[in-house]
Amino acid sequence: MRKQRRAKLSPLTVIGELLILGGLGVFGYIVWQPWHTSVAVVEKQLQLTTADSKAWDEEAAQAPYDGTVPVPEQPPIGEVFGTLHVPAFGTTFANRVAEGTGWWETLNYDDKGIGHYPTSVMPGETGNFAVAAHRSGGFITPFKEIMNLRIGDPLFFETADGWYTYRFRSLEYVLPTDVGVLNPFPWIEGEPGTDQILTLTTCHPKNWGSDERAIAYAIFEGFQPRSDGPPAELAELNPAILGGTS
Amino acid sequence: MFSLLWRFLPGPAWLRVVVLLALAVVLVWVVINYVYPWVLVQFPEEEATVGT
Repeated sequence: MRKQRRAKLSPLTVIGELLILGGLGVFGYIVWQPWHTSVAVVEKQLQLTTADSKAWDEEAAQAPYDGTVPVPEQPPIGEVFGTLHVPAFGTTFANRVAEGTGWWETLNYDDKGIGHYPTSVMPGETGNFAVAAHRSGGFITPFKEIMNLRIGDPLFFETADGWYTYRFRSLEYVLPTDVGVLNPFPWIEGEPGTDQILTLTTCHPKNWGSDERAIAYAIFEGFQPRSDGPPAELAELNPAILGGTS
Repeated sequence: MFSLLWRFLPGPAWLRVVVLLALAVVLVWVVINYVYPWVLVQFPEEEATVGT
């Protein structure tokens, strides 16, 4: 009996069983990838940024606030210098910001993710503070929900010095060659004016290639020194921040 | 292939099921930690910046 069954094992059976395994493997990838970027990596960023905030709290006590808006020193490529908090992307959304916009400088690393254009200014300076991040793909997708931004939504950029509050103004879709969005005042040539702008650039359409770019603009509103804790508006939108940073 | 694996394992049926489940867990762990991250890098990456 047993001998008979062994003889029946045909190559077709083996091929079929391998196809089942392969199918399960592909299906597993489809489940794994969204879980990885929207659960595992988001959680990792939350822990990293909370730890950064704690470390900055400890070093902040030394320098008393002099009333001016500080400008962070431009760090070397790949170095983390701040955290972007955007409650519109998710209540507790916080993601590190590092210098440089290369895939393997900042954008593809799940402990960085958001990259600052080295040609643009730093926060606190007149002009355009421009950052980029992935919107789709499997590495890290901080700007996945960029279309959730509504006029008036706050964005908070946290550094060792304190909190820069920006307010979302508009979103547009452009071609990859439209570098005018990075001008000191987006699209305008010549005199930069006095506005301080935060520009987010990411790919478009979401989850479907990157033929275009989605660009979000926010205007600088105010600065709060670290000694005063997180801005009240952020604490209201994201109560968990008080537990992590105060 | 599956039938060969079943015959290869010793012991009563319930023990074989337990061993096979343990093997499946190890396989899934290896796939998630090593295979999928490798597959990820093989995909064409998406551009997020302007002017590149």
